[in-house]
Amino acid sequence: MKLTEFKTVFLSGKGGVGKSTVSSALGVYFSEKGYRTLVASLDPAHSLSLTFDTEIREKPKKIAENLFAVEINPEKEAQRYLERVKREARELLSPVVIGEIEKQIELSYYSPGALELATADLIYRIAVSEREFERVVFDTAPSGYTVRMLTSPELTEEWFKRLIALRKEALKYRKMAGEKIEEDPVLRILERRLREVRELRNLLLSPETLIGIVVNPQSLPVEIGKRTVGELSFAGIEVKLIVGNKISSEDEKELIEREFPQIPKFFIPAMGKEPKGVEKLKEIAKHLKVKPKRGN
Amino acid sequence: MKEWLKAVKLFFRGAVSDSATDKLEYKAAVLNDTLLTVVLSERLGIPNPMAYYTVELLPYIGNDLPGWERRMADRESVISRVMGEVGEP
Repeated sequence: MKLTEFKTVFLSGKGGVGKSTVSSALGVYFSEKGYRTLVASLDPAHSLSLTFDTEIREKPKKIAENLFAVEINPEKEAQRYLERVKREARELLSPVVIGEIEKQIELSYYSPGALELATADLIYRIAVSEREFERVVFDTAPSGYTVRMLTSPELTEEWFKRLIALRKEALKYRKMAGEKIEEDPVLRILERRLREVRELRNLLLSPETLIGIVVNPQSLPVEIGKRTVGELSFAGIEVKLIVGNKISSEDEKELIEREFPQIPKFFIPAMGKEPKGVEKLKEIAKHLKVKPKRGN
Repeated sequence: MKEWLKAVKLFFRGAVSDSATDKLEYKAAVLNDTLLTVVLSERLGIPNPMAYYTVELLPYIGNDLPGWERRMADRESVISRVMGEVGEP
């Protein structure tokens, strides 16, 4: 396994294990190799501003040569999207229904999976449709549930396809009844969503995408890491990397080796103080250069 | 007599093609109802994991909401029909 072969990286793991630190270090690693790299945080509890020791916002900010970082909150993304839908509704709908429709649109913010799908939209935009970087590292991974929804064609694709067929049939009847229909916005939206879901699935299943899990040598992070490996493999996705972070002894290394056999690993020693800034991250990035071996 | 025949012809054409148009419009309306039911399924107690995505359709299909709500009063038939046509995501 060669790290630079991967164009998109997702890091998963329990809160506090150091996903942001490892993502930032990976970003430093890629940028030092000469790749134009973006480190993106989609976690509401942003910490890239801390790891890079500079304020990072929604526009990619240059950190060093070839290295950029961005922090986008999926909650804000969801609010912006729903605001746009509401604006469209106010433009197009009759005053009789607008109140109720607006309420419905607001409610969908709380519908199950809304934030997960907002995160998926952000991933799509950053890593696929508006991609400007040779390497993109996310300090977040979509949950097992979202991954399953996105990667299973029966679940999502077929469902969208059936809605599209339904809409096409309705349009056919309306055309036969003499209505002039040039371009149907409903069809346009459904087809765009279908395309996005497909492209996201391709991204997640691509051999150029690395999904890794960061763990600490304690039982809870390890257990959660193992559960994520299981959930992802159930969705047909292989976890290709385990990063053992904050390792202070050989025993701890062995524990992680034992718990995740067959998966390539990196180990990052405990640093004492939390690493801040590019120089410190360069030190961590050195540990990523060790070529990992498969299994034992 | 010729005039009268013309009128009869026109009458039948109007009657037949109008009712055909009505039928087509009715079919399109039923399909639109089905789409609304998918988008608003949570109102009927059917979870929709894609609600965040499908809500985007409401500005374009929402005008018929009052009619849809009225027809939902006859839930049993509508839901079973919709489930038959679309299925759950």
